[in-house]
Amino acid sequence: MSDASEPSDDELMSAYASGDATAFERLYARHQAGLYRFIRRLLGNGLAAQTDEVFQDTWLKVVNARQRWEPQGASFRTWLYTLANHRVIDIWRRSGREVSISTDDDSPWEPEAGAAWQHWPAPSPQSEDLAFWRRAGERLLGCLDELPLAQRSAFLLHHDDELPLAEVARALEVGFETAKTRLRYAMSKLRTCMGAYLAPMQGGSS
Amino acid sequence: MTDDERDAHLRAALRHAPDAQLQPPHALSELILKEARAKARDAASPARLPPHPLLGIWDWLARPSVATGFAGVMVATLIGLMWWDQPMDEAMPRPPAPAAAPAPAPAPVVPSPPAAPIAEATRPAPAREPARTPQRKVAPAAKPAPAAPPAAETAREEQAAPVAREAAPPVALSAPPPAPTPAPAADTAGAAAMSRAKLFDESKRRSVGSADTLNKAAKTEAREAEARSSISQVRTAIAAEPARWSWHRDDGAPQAMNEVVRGWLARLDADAGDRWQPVDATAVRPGREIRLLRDGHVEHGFRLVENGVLWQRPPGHWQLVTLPPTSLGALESTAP
Repeated sequence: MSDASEPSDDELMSAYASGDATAFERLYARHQAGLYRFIRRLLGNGLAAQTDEVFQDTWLKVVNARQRWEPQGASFRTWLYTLANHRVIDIWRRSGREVSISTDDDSPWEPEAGAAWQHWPAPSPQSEDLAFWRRAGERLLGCLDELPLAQRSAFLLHHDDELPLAEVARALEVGFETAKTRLRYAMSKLRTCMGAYLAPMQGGSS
Repeated sequence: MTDDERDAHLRAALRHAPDAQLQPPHALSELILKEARAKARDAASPARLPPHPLLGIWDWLARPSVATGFAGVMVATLIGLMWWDQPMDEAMPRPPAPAAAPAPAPAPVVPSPPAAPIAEATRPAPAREPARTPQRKVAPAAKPAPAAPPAAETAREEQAAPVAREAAPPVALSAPPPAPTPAPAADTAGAAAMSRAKLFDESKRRSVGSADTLNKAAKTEAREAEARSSISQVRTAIAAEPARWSWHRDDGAPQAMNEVVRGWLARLDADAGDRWQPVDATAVRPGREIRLLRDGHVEHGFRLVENGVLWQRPPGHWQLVTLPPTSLGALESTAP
């Protein structure tokens, strides 16, 4: 994510805690887009209007906690997404939505025989049609809205923000196996959801 | 197709999602950065230096609990200063000094040594003791006064009485003042001042009353002293007009005053002093009697009895002085 000459997130945060405002600006520039997108997708279409609020609150928590922050255990990035996740959970609860904190209560997913996803083509230069992927992206966002919050956050942290599974578990403040299970359930549902959407194209392209 | 291949498709779909290039609003970013810069300035400003120790003390005093305690101490100190130089307890005996001023006035009126009951009534020494220590306040009342003190003790008391009377305050003659109800701790200075004024008035009233009592006692004492005139007065009268005096023994013929009689009177005067005590005429026992006449009329009669000498002054006033056997024997042997 950053080359060796660039100071790490932890170093920038320490510099900001010492009064270096430019260090924060660099931190902000690094993570503002990814965090904003993470919050927006985690909130979903129903709570998208709360994105700015959660985004601002998350960064202000970083600002106010600068003296207490110490680079121990989780990285700054993991801590940043943990703060955002907590705030989103608050928004969800405030809106009356169900937030399942425990391990997914959904029944284990079983692949359907002959499911469309099983015929997905592998990414190739021929299939990188922009319109295709935009429609796939739109479909994926719709599928994410149907996921429970815990599975949605696990999927986004791991596949969108590219956190390792251990960091995902730490950001969600759950055990590694729990994070892994949530991610597996999320992927299964998304494959099903996306496969149904992609089936016509798959058929058209083949 | 493996799961990894499918996951790569999902990530590709995420990258091409409509919100993939989503950015926070510029105004929101400016707001956040502005807040972050302000906090950074606060962190870098000298305000982060350790505060001055005096400011720390001030902050500590500003705490409600500390401020309340400090205010309590201040109020207690103020009350203590207001009560400074005041009696700690209203029930404590008052010092006799303020009431001692009118005391010496009646003392010089007493011309002669008082008799024992009078001396007991006017003797201030026992009454002064409770004024010094409240624990011994009831001691004089508990100690019974001797009805007839020994002669030597009476003489000592009579010699010391004038001095004691002069030094003793009149207020000490009366009973100790009743203990007033102790003032509550929350009394104000005004209430304390009123209490002090009341006590001063009461003390003044007692002083006046005590002075009156002392005057009455002194007059009574003077009258009784006249009646109990000593032998020295008789001797003075004889020495002034010896030609007019004569004497006789029992039923003997009158004889001119001589040195034997005068010497005998001098011995009697020395032994008896002022210790003559009035006695009832019915209790007078018969005995050997020496009479002194002035211009032929009996003025004094002295009768030697078993325990002393009886002195008769017409018309029928009898006094007795108790003498030790040695003095009585000497008087009998030298009697004219």
